Amino acid sequence: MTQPTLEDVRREVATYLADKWQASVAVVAIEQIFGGASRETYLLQLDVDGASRGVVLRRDPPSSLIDTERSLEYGAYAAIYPTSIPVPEPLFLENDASILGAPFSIMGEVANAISDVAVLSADGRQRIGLQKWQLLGKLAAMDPIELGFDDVCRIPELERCAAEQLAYWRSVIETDEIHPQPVAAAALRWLEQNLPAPAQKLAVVHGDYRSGNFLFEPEGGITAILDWEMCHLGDPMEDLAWSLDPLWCWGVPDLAGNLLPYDQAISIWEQASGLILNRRDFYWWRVFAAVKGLAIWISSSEDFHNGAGKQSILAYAGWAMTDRQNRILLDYLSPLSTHQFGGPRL
Amino acid sequence: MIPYPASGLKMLAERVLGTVVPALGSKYAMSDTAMLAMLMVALADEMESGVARRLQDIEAMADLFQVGREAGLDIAPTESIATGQQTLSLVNEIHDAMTAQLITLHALVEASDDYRELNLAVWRYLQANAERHSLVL
Repeated sequence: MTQPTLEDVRREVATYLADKWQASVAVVAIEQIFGGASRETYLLQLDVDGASRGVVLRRDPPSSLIDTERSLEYGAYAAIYPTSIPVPEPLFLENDASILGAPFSIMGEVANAISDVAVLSADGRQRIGLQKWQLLGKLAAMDPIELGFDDVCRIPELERCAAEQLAYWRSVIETDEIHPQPVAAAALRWLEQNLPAPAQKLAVVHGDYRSGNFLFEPEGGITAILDWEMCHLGDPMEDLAWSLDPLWCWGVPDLAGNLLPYDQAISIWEQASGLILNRRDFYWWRVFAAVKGLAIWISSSEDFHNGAGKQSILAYAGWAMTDRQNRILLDYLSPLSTHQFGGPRL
Repeated sequence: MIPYPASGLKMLAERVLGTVVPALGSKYAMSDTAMLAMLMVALADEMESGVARRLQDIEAMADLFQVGREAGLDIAPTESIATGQQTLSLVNEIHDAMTAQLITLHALVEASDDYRELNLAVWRYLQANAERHSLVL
């Protein structure tokens, strides 16, 4: 089986879960979710021995925006699930590609929740924004070793967190660029010449913590943090900077992640994490976040161009997101910048 | 009939959005196809004015290299494009070669105050380039 149809997924998942749970399992409804470009994502409604239950299936695609290990993502869910950071319940990780043509994982559904913050009222933005950066601060404050992340991720030295991340994303750009990238090249030179101080502490870095990657109830709160496939151990400022990248606030330049003013988001994070932001170092992480984003979009462009992935989202990301991320970097680094994008500067 | 490819492609995209997308059975297929149609519109624009935009870049980069040469920097001669050879793929090839050269020039001039004005001119070019190629979907 190369690319399963919805009917294939329905049939194979029912058989798989019946075997795992030793129960009668029928798939009542199945829907593929658009936009989950790092994994093919399906929402399935099940009947398990007469009881209703929803699950989410994440299957490795032939190509992805983010080339990551599924076991890392699943391991992160398993480590975080028992904590006060809400994540979907991890159920099964299946590395046998013969079942669905590729490895997959299955999580519990987080019902009655959405991910689009654009629907929120002003009060809702405040409420969800407060929770969003409180949760990120809590994650930063946790001890990754106590959580068991030393079984899931490599442990970097505090002095090497920034340099290692920079080396990794530089290699992605250099390997995947299909055109020379003068803005990325200038930014990489700047990052190399201005490395930050060692991390204040070692933290679990989600790696893609942004509006759109968490679920919430519009009248309630955040119910699940999703998409841990870029999770690693490192400097907690990395996540904060990524969450504040102007890429995630289309049309509302003054609100980080379309939710809160930048200074308020930072203040909430500082209070929850117990960490104090060093402005100079944090600026390095902001430039880094934009370069990392650019690397991901360049990589998706390469996948689409070379035919490894044919999803329209790869072409969109490789074109539109590269365009916007280049503008963000120019806004940060050009001596001629008029600073159109929000967030703290040097 | 000699077709006008850009407007033809835009009309096809409108047809996809107006008739194909609403007839699809799943939200996933509708979102995926709608995005494909939007990308077709962007490609139509690229077919129409992509060569002209790249030629503007090429001319601007050639000017920067000339300033660099006059300032004593060792910059190889750049390839010229004859009228009649202006296909998108050929222009892309020359654009890429010159952009690689621009990256080298930028690294050189930003490292020394002697080339402050040329460094600013490179940044000015990068900003103009971003504006020229901005994509609105």
